[in-house]
Amino acid sequence: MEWDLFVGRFHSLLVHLPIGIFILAYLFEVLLQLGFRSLIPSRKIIIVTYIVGLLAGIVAAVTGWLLSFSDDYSLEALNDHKLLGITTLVVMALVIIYQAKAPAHRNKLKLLASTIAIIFTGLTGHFGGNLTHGPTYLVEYGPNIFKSDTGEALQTLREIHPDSLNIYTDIVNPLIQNKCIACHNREENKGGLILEDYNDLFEEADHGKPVLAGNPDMSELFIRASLPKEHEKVMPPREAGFGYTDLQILRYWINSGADSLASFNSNDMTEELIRLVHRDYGLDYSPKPYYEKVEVDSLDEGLLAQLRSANFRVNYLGETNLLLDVEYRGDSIGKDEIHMLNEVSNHITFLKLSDCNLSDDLLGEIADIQHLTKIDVSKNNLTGEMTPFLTKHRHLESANLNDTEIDIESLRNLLTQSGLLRVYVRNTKVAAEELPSLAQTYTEKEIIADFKFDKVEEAKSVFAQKELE
Amino acid sequence: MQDQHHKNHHKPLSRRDFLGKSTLGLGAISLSSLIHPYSAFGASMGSMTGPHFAPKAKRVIFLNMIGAPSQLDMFDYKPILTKMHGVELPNSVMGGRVTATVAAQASKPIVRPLYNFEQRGQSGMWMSDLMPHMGQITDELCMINSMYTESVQHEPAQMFTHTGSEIPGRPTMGSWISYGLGSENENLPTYIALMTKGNEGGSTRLLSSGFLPAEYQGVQFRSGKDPVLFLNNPPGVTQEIRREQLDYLQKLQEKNFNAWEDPAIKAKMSQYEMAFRMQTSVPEVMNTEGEPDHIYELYGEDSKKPGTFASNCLLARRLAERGVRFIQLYHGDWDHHSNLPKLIPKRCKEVDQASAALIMDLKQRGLLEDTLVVWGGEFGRTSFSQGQLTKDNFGRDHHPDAYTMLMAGAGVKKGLTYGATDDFGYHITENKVHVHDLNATILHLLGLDHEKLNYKYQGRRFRLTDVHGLVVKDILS
Repeated sequence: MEWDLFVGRFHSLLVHLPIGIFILAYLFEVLLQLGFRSLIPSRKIIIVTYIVGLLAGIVAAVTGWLLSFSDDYSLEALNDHKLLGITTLVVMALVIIYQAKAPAHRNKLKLLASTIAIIFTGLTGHFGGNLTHGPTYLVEYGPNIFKSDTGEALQTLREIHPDSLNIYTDIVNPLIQNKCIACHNREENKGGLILEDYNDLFEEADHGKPVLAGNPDMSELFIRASLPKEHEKVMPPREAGFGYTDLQILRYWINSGADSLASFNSNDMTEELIRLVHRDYGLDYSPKPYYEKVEVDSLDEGLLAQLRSANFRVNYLGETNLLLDVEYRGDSIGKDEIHMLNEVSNHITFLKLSDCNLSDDLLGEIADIQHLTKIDVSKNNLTGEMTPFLTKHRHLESANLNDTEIDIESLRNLLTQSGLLRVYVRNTKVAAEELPSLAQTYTEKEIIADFKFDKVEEAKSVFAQKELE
Repeated sequence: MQDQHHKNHHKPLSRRDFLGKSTLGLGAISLSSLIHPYSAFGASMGSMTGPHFAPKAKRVIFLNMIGAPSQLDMFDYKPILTKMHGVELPNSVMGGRVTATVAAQASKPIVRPLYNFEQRGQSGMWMSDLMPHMGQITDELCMINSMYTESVQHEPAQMFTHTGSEIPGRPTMGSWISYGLGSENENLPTYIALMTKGNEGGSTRLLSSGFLPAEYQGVQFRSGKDPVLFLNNPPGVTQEIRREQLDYLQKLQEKNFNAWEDPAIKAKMSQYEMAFRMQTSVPEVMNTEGEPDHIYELYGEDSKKPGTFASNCLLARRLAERGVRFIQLYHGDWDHHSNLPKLIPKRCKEVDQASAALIMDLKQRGLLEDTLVVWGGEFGRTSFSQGQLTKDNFGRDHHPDAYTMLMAGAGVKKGLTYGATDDFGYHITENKVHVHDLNATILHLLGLDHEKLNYKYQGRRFRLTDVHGLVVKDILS
């Protein structure tokens, strides 16, 4: 047992006693001054009350002195409180002496002296409160003029574009300002830890470095913040701690190097983190489609003009996305057109060669289209022979094979392609009966054929139903 | 092909234009073509820029339910209404917002949903028995139950959905999209409207290109033998005569243009040329005789009757197949202030199967991958009865504070029910989507940044979303 700390902790209980008594005595004095002689018949009552307050104050001071031996509090702020507390007691003692000795007509001066003592009492109490609750505690929920703007920062995340979000500035720092700064600032660096600036995060404190870039499990900030709520060492000790999402963000940020300019990158975020960040902060980092990730050089405009004059529709995907969306619009495609296409094949991502007499042989003439994600070769006399062409394109997501002669064996072959998401096989040799079993095998792929509605009966309104009953 | 370059540079110069161009003009032009290789060739078919970024959708089919269908009887399920059927809607729920039409009405009894609701599909999306076919394809749909708009009156609210402004005069969404993306088929207009014959609902004001050049205006295709009015040659005029006539007119207009430099002359000529090409392309697309029986079956019995909503849905698919950018369908008479129990099943029967068939027909052809389908009205309807609630009759008043829109296709999450309203379907409680937000999202899906797609007119830049609109990222796939 540490009796000093045990007794010391009663300080926070006992301090309220002298404050209350002083205020009561002061109230009496004000009443007397205002002329309520019938209520306060004698100044002695006031003096006795002040004396009781002073005694209680001495008890509070002693317990406070005992408590000051714990290392829960930063020295600097503690000293202010201690000094102010002792001064208050001295001032109060002087006031009592003055009240007792001074001539009766010095009423106004007496009140002035008590007022000064009361102000001292209030200040001491306030500094004491700041010691335990932190300097922002009192006005945390008050009007904005009292506080710095960090607490609100997280609320505005929804308006930030995911690409321009900065993890440290927009999330980590506001969190620290909100949860840690009350005790770990320059004035009150509890545990030798300051978390005011970015650089502080990497300064050695009493229990190690708050952040060790690349290693969240060795970073004191992450360790303490992620402890269970009941744990003796959890931070912050009393107020609501870091949320699960915030911890995951902190972990991600430290893991990725704790750079002050770091932003989220959907490629190395876990699925869980993507979901959490979206759920809690409305930030969308769902993985981009392949054709938005690839970057290609610009093309010779002459090639495009040539394609256009050969009855191709050719478009870039966007102003800055130089992949091509190409469609042949003629009735019959030939080798010349295919060779023209081959010259831009590295840029094509969507290709539509529908209803244009495309044969297996001609398809074989098409060069490897490395970024192909979507192909439509519907309404052509193509057979299962085309599957090798399709399967060699590993980024292919969608294949429209409607109105071709593809058969079930070739389709099965095609479906083993891991990236493929959708395949259209309407009006082909693939029988409708085969599809349900295929759909069961390849649950992550859509195999789309003719759609039919189930028969429906005309519904009755609730009024009509009631009539029937 | 219209001459974009010409149009921009031979426009009569105002004093302001002169000052602006003479300081910045040429430098800016050459710089921009250096930075964007796209703009060097971009102006195919009247497109100003092409998409800003990789689009999910290449075209939109907007199914307009003019008059505002009752979301509470079809989509937004509120079991409390059933429990409290006939009870006065508490003032605390209304929160003081009541339309003038019912302000004087002494009693505002709650009305339960008229039809049974059920969760349908793997998504568990709620839909009532009024929409049995849409109910079968809920896993393709995205239902937004938290739409809200500004106006409580039909005309301004429709105008608002179309143009982002309640007052007529701004370009509609179809015009903006045509202007932004241009055409994929030079033989058909980029923006086509189909209205249900005898129940048009929409007015041609909703097809206006406003201050955008006239070629971006919506063109209404009618049912029957004359889909586009005055398109056919008069008796005795052959195709050759027409061609000769147009060629000569072209020469005259060229002279005219050189004298006046009025861009409207160019626009007019390009429209004449388009009309000439449409003389063959329109009959081809509007003739559905070649469609197999099972397709008619899919769209329902009505689809064989020209001018019905079902037949228009079938046409919409044919237009989409041919690369038309923006296809607007209109179906009216959803304004059920009274007699709702008798009227709503009729309207639903007219649109339910055809709407669902359109989505699934697009899907089975692979077109839903790059076509966006939007379904809905200009606002919602109240959960209390307008007029007297009798044992088998009631009506519902206009309600702009909460209503439902459906989306399907390119780039939209499937099977998602987005946003929520309170127990009475009166106020939105979660994920509000303003009309500007919806429009911003539609443009986003087309690869257009709604803040960049603008047009300078009378000294300021205008856009579809005015100065508002946030893309609803949550519904994007």
